[in-house]
Amino acid sequence: MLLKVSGENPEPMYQQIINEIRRLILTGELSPGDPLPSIRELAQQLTTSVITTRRAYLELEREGLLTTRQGVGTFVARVDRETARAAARKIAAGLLTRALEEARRLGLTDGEISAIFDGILQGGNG
Amino acid sequence: MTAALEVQNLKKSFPGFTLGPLSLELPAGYIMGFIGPNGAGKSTTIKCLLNLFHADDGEIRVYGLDSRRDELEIRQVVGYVAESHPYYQDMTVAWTAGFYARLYRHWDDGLCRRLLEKFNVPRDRKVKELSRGTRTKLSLALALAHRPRLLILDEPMAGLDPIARHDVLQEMLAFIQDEERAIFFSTHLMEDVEKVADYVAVLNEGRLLLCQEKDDLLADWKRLAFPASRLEELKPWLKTCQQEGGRCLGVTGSYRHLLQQLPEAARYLETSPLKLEDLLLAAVRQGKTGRS
Repeated sequence: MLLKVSGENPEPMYQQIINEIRRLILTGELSPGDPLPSIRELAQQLTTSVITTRRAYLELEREGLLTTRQGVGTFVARVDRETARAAARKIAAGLLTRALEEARRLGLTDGEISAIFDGILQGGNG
Repeated sequence: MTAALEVQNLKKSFPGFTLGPLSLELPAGYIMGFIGPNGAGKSTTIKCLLNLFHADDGEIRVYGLDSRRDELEIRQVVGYVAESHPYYQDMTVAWTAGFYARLYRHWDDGLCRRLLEKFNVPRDRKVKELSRGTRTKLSLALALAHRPRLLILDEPMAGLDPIARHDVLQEMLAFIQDEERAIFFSTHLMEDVEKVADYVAVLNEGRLLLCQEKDDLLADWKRLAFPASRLEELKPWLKTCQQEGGRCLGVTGSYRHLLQQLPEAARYLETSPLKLEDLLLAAVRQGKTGRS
């Protein structure tokens, strides 16, 4: 399992790990039933800490994307359509929230931001 | 579960310097980074842990063993890499390894050979002919070869190039693949702590300022920018703050609490993550202004 994470990225490491594994699952690069490395193995592979890696796994379990069988290991869960859509919505919400925060800081009103968003949706540049 | 390392109210005084009272706990299976400015007392703490200095007061336990009563047993359990490497300068690497082998019950000669090879430490070379980085690697190989449960490293990365540093970090993470083991390491290199440490302990002027899970620390310590008109309501959460015109720049050590108590702040706060280095600066500075 190859994950793109970096200490230079301002996002917390556990968030980067979550995003990467989510992406691999939602794009089908990881299939239901595929085994994941153990928490300690992945920590070593990414040169990151054990607790950070565990946090990422726990969050992905909560979202229903991973399942851990005690003493056996962690696997990609059988993800139904709704769980997959919910996970995709979560990624999109994260990206849009950052853009929204930035726009508000520039002093734009929510009405203006909404108009820009509608404009982009309709294929313009806002 | 027994802690790998448990320190309670450790105290050690020298003329002009007092360490402690210091308490901390490192659970088995994890890595703790020990940071702080020069002269904070990091090496003194480590020497007390190893009973190289006798503490004036307090208790130190390593996997339940008492640092004074079970001193000899603890030496078998702890792998120690000192800041300077006290070997016989005129002896070879192979001789030094043989010397250490006799001191330890669980010495693994095959492992020692493999590590020396992996770290490119030439066995036939005299210790005085080795570069500082290579001496560090020799020291790490000797510390690992007696199969300790707890590794205590005092500035293990000093004098190492980036590639050697990466190798040492990898070796540390390999060491704790076994959940029964743990690592306590002091360093000035914050990136290394940011990468591999599960817990961070911050020492300043002999006192422990912080000791927490690293991810909690980074979630709570943030750099903030906000309009000066908000300064009053944010003050309780600010560690440091500078005002310039209508804008303020500050550091908080309790970001999650701030958002909980003042959810509307999310609308005007510009938040950026704090590097551990800046966190250390802010924590140490605040310690100073807090006293004056």
